[in-house]
Amino acid sequence: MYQYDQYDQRIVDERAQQFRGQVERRLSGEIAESEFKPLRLQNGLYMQLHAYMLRVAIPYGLLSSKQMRSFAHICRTYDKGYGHFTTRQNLQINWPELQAIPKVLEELAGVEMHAIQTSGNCIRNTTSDQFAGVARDELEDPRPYCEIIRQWSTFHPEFAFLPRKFKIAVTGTPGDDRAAVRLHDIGIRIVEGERGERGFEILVGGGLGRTPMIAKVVRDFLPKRQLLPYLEAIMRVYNEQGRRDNKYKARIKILVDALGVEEFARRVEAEFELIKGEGLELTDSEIARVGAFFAPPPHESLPDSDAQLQALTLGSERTLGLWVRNNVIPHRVPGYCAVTVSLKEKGTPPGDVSDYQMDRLADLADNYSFGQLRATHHQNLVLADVKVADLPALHQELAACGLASANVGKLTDMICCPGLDFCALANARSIPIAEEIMQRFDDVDYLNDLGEISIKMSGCINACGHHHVGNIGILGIDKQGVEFYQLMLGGSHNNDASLGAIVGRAFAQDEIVGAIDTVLRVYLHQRSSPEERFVDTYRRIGMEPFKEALYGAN
Amino acid sequence: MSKSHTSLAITAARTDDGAPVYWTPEGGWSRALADAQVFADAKVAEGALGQARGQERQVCDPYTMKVSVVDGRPQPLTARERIRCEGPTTRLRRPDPPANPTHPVP
Amino acid sequence: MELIKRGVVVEDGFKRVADDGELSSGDVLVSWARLQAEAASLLARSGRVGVRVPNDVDLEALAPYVEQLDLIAIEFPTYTDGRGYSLARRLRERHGFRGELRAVGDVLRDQLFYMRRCGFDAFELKEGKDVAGALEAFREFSVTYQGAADDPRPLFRRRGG
Repeated sequence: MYQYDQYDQRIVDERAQQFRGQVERRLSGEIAESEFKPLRLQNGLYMQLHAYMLRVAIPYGLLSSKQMRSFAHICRTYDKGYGHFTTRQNLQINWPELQAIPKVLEELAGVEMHAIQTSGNCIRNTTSDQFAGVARDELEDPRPYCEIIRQWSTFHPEFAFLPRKFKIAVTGTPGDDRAAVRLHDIGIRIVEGERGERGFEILVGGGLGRTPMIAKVVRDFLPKRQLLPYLEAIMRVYNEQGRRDNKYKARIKILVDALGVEEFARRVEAEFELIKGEGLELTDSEIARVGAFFAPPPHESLPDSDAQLQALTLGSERTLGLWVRNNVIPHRVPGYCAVTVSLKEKGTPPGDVSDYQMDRLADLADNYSFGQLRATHHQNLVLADVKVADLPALHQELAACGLASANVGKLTDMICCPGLDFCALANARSIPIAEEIMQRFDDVDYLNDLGEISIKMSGCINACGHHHVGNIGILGIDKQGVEFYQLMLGGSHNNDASLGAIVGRAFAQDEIVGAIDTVLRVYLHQRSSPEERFVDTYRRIGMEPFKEALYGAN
Repeated sequence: MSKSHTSLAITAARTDDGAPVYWTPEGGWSRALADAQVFADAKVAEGALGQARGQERQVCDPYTMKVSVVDGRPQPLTARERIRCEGPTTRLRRPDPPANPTHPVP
Repeated sequence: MELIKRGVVVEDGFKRVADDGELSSGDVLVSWARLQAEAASLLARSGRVGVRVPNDVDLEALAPYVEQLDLIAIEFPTYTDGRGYSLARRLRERHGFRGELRAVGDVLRDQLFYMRRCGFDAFELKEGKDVAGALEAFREFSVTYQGAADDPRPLFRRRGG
């Protein structure tokens, strides 16, 4: 993974010092909250319902065991002993005191981490495919470009005060978009040109929130060296022309939609023509320098293990077999596989990990996966380079610390925002609904029978839980101080990205999980075969059968 | 039978740790809603809010919240204020498994 | 009026003249509307001329004057409105403006570093802010990744040097 040199290190060190000064000004009374707020919001520090919340960037989700141990130490020392992995591959701690934040940032800087631009109307953490570098269907590893974008966007002087927040995602697997690039302000796909040369397809204007939209292609093929000039052109057009009169219409998707993608692309290309010659073009040596950090780890030379992997799923140890079947994918290197560690365990909010578990995960990464972990946008973790032969031992160790849920990609592998239990913006709670779903649908055979299906849940319209793109989406709303839940069906976040539709009137807190049960029954009854996925059945039969089952014939 | 009617209290987030606090009749802040000054008159509450806003070092963004007064004690009216007052409704941290010989707690 | 100019606190040498105000001798700062209405007579004066422009000014309309202006002051209506940063870079990098580029309006200490990188060399802090204390803001960072108006080379072209 990328390692800081003296320059990178100085930037995060100086940032920690700068924020120390800002916190001191606040605590001394020199500045009030109104003036401190914009400062903390450039540094991932939010004010939530019960406490401050600090969001730490995990660049494109990649972290070392050393960094994970640092998280554990921070959670134990400055928080209540746990942290929360988010859909943007970040980590949030929920209870730090203000005077502890500079110390936290210094500890993070000590392990090459930071909270820079994890909030505010600026370019946020660039996200990517959790199986980057290991997936068999990958064209090229996207992480070097993520790192190049991270450096370009960090403290970019021109784009610190955009109309609204800005999110970029990169995938190197055009065939299977695990980074949901179509749902980002800018989505970047590594593609092959006509002569087999590599470059980027650039999509702009995706996003969820109040006005969900799927990104549109503005450039079919961009030569690699032009990545930064082109991004700078998009950002400048947006910075100058994006709406600033209404925060709900300020995302770039609204600009793209208002201008039409052709006109937007024309303006970007015009700016790009001018920027191109200004020295921002990438050099081959820089691409090679950054790329070298993402060279594969020293895998052993092992025989092909596909048959071995297959045998494990059918073996006599049923728990292990189910886990391998659902949580493990084959690797491009023979003898290895990639393991998803589910953070969706009954009794724990989705995405939460205790300091103890963090330490154990760091040990397991060291012992089984070359000391690295990845955070996924499904709020899970990945050990990406595990020997197939080690799977039984790894499974046992994960089970010992409560991290062996075999539910990846299944109904209970939910995405869930913190909701009204923590969040100052939320209208309704999400975590208790998630817990109720876990309790009600905890039969592994039932989950496997349902097959691939996703529930995504947000406690408000800001859609941190991506409810629009859940096969089943749940949106918390407030009716005169009482929590209600809207049910949406038919969303998807992958290559076949689609937005869900609201079924009908909202459900009360004690009705919503029963409503999900009803939806599942309709699906099981109506699917053409056990292989037909929920979303495909929905697309075939439409909303009516579900509506009728939920609300009756009238 | 308990009697209940709607009044106002003033709340804010404490600067040091972001915790919800409530404006007291003494002109200070308490973590307990039970200690809050209850205003039957919105105009009086607005006046106190101005005073509360002056305490910029201690608290962030004070505002008035509706409360119902039950048996003389203020109670939050919305889910949001109830959760602010009483804390998250979920379990915060998963307990560690008991230490065992094969997996010692580090 | 105190200004931060090239890293030190100075008195503003330009006199602000209202749209209906009399043009005295010396250096004057006028509105964009007045510059457009009276360009010929303004630019023919012996004193230096500056213009205060909104951050969404039509750059095509401003461009013809750029060479003859000694000062362009860009308004920041609120610190969160970042259009002035792009405008500043265009003026410096595209139109070769060499005069004083001044940030005015909701200009706060913690934006100064970004502003300077985009080509501003003068800063009129929001009223009531500590001008001397704000100077510290320029010393907070010693490394930058991007090329900008202050140095067009991104770090990857300087690295290892």
